[in-house]
Amino acid sequence: MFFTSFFRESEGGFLHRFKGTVDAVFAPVQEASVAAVQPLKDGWNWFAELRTARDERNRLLVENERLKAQIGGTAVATKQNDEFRQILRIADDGPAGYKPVNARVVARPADLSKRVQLDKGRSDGVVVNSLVFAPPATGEGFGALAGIVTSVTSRSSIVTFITDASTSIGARLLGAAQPLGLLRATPSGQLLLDKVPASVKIENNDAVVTAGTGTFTLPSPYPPGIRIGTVSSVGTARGEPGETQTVQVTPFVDPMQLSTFAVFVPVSPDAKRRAGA
Amino acid sequence: MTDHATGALDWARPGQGNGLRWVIAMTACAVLLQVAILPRFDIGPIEGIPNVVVCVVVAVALLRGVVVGAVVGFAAGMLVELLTPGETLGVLALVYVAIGAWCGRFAGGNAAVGRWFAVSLMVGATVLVPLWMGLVYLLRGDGPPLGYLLGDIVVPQLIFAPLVAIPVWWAAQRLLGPPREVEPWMARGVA
Repeated sequence: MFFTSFFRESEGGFLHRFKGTVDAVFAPVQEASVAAVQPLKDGWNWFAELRTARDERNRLLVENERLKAQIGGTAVATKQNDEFRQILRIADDGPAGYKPVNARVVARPADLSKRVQLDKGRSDGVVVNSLVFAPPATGEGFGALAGIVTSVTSRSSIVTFITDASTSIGARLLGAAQPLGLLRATPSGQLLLDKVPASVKIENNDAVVTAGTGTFTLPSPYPPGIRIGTVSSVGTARGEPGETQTVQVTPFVDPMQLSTFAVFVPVSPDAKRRAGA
Repeated sequence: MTDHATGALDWARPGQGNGLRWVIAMTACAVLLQVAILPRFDIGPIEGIPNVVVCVVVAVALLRGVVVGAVVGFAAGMLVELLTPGETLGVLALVYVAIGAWCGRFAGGNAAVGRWFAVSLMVGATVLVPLWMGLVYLLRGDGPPLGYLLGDIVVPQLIFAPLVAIPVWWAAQRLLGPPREVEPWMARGVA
């Protein structure tokens, strides 16, 4: 009965609101447990990494020598790169119109969904449809898209990842103007674009980014050009309208493996319009 | 401090009550551990979170019978789903009720519940939970591929289950004493 009612009612229904209230009440306990467990976790990680530290040191010494030799050559390229970035107005602090808020995972799902609860909520400026990014690796700007905030309480928020089966994102290839279609997640966490016209040339390892399309009154919550993943396979299917392609995309990160994220909350009018805030 | 005949601690000696306070404490600790502590740890290369709650439900059911097993199963399942950011409510409660009620049948028998029998039941119940979840998702129309369900979810649980089941059964026996069917009308003046 609970399951049926919960599944059938809307996000604002009684059971959803009750669950949200319980989550909000329990959030301080979750935060306290994060703080209490962190030293133990750090200790465990230190102990686990000790075993490989010697090999890692030797490898890094060799790599250090090699990198020193490269520094001279890359200095010029770095200067040029900075100039190009200034010209093209590419920022490293996130998509334009959004403000980053760092957040930690405080709870993970007990079912098969790809969602987590973060320790930042309405009091930190987080609103529904705020963008969630995985922490960037070196030289990757502000990281890759991990998900979107789907519910908020005063001190916590629920993020639904791009790998959750309920998520769909308008996507295009990096550098292309035309959207490919809606990127959907399979239950196993892969991303799939189907019914892409066969005329579109797609190759493995092509980067896929958000299309950001929509109407003025109903815009996509995702701004255009945000990195999602790379094409891992392309299959051709013959259907009634003609040949189409099914494109499998591997996300840049598996968000379920991460414990910290950057939540980008909308601050500009355009970003707020996208978020419906 | 230990009664060697029963294996129970003096301050939780069976016969001085039904031990229902210990049942509540064990369930609360298991839920807290499940939702607030265990998700913080990356346990080696194996992905997944050990299911402590289902082991406690089975242990309590084996030691206190059908009614207590079912009630503990329902309460624990609801609490876990309420306190985690999933998209279901009542699914875990339903399967935990069934597990608690079924395992509780063994509490009333004349034969003592053996350690390995209890551990086997806990491992079986641990594996049943993700399979049940997979079935529910399948009925909703977004069922996971069987390979993913078995390889990524069931197998890690199968590895974790004995590691969790053995200490849970040991602790439950120490706290609750020998198996005994507890009915609602017996529950007055508990522990």
